[in-house]
Amino acid sequence: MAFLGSSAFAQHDFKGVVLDSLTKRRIEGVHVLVSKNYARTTDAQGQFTIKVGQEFKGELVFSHAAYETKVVHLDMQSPGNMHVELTPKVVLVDEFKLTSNQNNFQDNVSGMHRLSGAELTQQPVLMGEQDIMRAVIALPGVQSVNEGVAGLMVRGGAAGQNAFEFDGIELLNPYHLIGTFSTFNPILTESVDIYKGSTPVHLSSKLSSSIIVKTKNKADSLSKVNLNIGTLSSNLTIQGASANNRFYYSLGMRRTILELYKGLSEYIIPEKHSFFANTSYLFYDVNGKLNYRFSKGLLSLSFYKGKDQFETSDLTGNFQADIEWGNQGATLNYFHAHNALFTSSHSLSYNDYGFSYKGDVLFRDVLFKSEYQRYNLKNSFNLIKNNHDIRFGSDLSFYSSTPQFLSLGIESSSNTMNVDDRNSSIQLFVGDTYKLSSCFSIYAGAKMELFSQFGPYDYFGANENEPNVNRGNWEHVKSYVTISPVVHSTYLINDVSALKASYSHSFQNFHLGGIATIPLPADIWLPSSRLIKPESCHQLTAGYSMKNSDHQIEASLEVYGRHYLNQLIFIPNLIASETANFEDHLSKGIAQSAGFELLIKKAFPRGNAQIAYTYSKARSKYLDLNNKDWFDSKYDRPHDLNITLSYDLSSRISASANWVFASGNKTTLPEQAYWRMGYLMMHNGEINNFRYPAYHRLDLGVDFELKTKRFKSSILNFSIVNVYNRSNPYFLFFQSFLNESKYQIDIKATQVSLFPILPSISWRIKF
Amino acid sequence: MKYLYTILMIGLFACSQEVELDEMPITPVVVVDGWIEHNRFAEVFLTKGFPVLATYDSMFIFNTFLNDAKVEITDSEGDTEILTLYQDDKYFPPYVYRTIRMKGESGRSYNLKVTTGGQTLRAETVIPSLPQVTFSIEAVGDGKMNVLVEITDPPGEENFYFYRTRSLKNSLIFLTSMESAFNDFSFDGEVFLKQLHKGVSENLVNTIITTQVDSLSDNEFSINDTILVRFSSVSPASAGVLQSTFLHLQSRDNPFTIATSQIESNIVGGVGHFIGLGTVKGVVYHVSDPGLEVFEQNNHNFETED
Repeated sequence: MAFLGSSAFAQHDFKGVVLDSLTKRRIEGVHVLVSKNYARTTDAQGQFTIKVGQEFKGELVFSHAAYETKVVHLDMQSPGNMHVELTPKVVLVDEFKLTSNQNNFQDNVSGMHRLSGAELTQQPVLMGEQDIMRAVIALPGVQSVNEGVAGLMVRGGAAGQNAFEFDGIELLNPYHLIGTFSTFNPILTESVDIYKGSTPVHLSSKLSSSIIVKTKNKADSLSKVNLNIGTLSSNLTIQGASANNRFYYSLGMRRTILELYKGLSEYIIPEKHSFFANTSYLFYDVNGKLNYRFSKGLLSLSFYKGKDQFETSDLTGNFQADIEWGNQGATLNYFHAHNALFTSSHSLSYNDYGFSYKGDVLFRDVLFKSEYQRYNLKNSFNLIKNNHDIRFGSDLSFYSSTPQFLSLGIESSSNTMNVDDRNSSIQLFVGDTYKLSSCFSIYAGAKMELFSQFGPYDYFGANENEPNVNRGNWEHVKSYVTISPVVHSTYLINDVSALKASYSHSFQNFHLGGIATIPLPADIWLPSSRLIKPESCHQLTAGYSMKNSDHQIEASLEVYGRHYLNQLIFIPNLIASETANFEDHLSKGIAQSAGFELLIKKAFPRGNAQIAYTYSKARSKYLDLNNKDWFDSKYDRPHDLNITLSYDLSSRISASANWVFASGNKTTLPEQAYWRMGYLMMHNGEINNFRYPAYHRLDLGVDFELKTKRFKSSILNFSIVNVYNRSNPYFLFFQSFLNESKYQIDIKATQVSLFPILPSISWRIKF
Repeated sequence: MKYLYTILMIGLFACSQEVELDEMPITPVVVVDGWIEHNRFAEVFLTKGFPVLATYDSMFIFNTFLNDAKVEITDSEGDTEILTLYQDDKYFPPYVYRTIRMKGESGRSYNLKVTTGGQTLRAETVIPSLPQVTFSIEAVGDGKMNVLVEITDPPGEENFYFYRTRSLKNSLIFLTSMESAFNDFSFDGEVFLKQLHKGVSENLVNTIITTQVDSLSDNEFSINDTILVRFSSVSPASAGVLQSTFLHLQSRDNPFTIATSQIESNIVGGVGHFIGLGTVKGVVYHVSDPGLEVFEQNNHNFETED
């Protein structure tokens, strides 16, 4: 007011225009602050006019939500027509950027889905526990090996060919409760990106898919504390931010409450019938994030720790098992925007995975352990220039792993095996998204990797042709150089439809050797080595997609074909002279898969519907199996249909339903039995000789939003999993029984199903 | 909430059930259970595989035996004998093919040829040199004793061992334990004292014909018992077959088994084993005089007892 008062009699007009420094476009709505009581806003042409006194001398502050604030000195010598350029703010999300592209096909990546937080929690709830992976397996081309969400099969790939990344932390076997739930905390999850192969080279990947989970970067405006009380576990999350929003923190904790049931069951169920009498289960996970925003950067620290502990025994005392597995890790990341067109990301991370099985089988102690550790330094740069969006960088990792420590607890040490591996990986990558025209764009990238094996390494040769190989600590054993190309192209037919195609040749240097007939975290991870080459996969895809916003419908059809090389399967080799070499327990082979995927999404005024159908065939051929003939892969599951519906019954009640139908998996069952040495023995015959019955299940869920003054939000969820009580097989096995009458023996097939009809209730509240 | 908890728990109890599966068509495999032991006649049991899912009564088991085979063994010296079919009620089915002239001899190799139902099966084995062992017992109180074997292991070579025991009080035949096959990785070239286990009670057929149930644990024997021991050296190939067999038996009813596991066999054209045993025999029993707690070894002929 003083300024205006003193200069009211003689005023001078300054005019100007504000432009985007990159595009040179005029910017509407820029706030031009002259003093704390006097400001103007630019018009649609980016122009402004201010009036100041003849003696004015000061600073103009130009601010806009999408641009960096700029301060310009102004006095009577300044030109009457000002020309101000503002620099766009960089969105501080390191893996993807917001673009101004107005079409519906911003991502050039075929076979990629991005699920938002809201989409991730639309599925009916299992045992009161929301799970983001249930939304993931509702997508076409993604299947669960069986009940639960464990062991994803993506486009006919094996469970160990999926990469899971949680805020930059690599997770292996990220499942709780033997695969019933994923380890990802749903309340803190912001989004999940799923790449079904052909993953851009700057992202973590394995042969079959990359599943990249990101947690929230800013606090929920409604509440800082969320609590979910379910029938199986409880989940508490805390979020907050500083007043200037520079500092953000989040912490999530989940834990089972099965001990309550165990205590309760003692009063209700006779011990001999009680599941809990000889079984106990505990799982928990803790994850969190600390962010600090600088003017041009974001420093973040993320961490995760989760564990499952499962103890069980049979009533006869012939079998007892104590199983533990879990991941833990942390990532320190610094993202820096050098300018709006050039950004970089630097991260340092550590993660480890461990599994142990302590058992007592027929009075013999069995101890099996498998461990994996990874240290990683990654530098990634993103440069946008003209029509190019270029990403390049390096990724350095050091691995220390123990694929197998096995002790059978017999006096002789002949049944104790311990394998330690040390490996390093150096990756260099570069990729470019190039927009050739308004309707055609292409992404091309390549990743070069040098993967090395270091000692200690001992190989006991069987004969003169295979001599002993011995290497000391850190002595080089073997290196592999691989180059992984990825190409995607997108052609926009019009504003609502596009054609996409892709090719990739990817490599994987850590392999999951499945050792059980059922999906378990017991499967072991082992690195490429002197005798184990990197496994690889060629993938070719083509697809059509359309997205009509007017009619709220989205559809896509994609065909794919894959050819896998250097596939591994664990075969215990008991020829005495070969038992000393872990690498001799693996058979090498090839595999193929092909199919098509159909996805239709439709939004209604009060609900959504999604239909996903996949037809897929997968087959394998191994040197030591089935006479080297092709056979159906364990993951061969021709038909997979998934229908999801959600509907708002009222402003406070919403319902959801999910129906799944899928062909049964293949498994290996004994083909015949015989007597030998006075014992009954099983003869397996060919591998994967049996297909489980078809899998189908209907789940329903209802959310009731309760009126509350105590809480900011209070929602009661009722869910029923497996509404019509379908007994889907989790696994089958044979048991032999000696009858009371002499010379009578029964062998019976026993099916284990995880989920009968399973109602649950949970209460989600926000403070 | 209590209602919901009850439903949850009932659900968890109901997760395992017997199911009926369509029987898979099979071509029965021919199973060889054959041994040739140093200074002992060869024995071969021949059976055939049968569908997994069935109830097996005595007639069914009886019919698995192949009594129409021609079984012949040729040794490395060129001597050949066609085996004779005997009835032996210690076993069930009570039939066994035996040599009546040819006895096993340490250092010789043997070829087995079985012709049955238009199929020909072949196998080869060797009887290694005899192990250097002495047997002893150790009284452990409560009327129990341990049976021990002291092995003098030849240095610088892989050696594999296999043993069977027979309780005169409890068993008509020799039994194997799950630990009966082992190697010398941990005591190569050393003198090693090993405690022996008796046959396990899981042995279905033998449980049927055993006249007295032994309630002791599998590494203990009654101090009033007399234990016959057959301790053998076996070739690496034979050891692989035996270890594979025992691993299978331990995990046969366990759903956590390895999907690709298959029992090793040295029978070409069938399954099973034909194994040469370099056997040393021993008899151990307890006497009240502390200085005489052992054994008769090698010089006791219990050929007719087993």
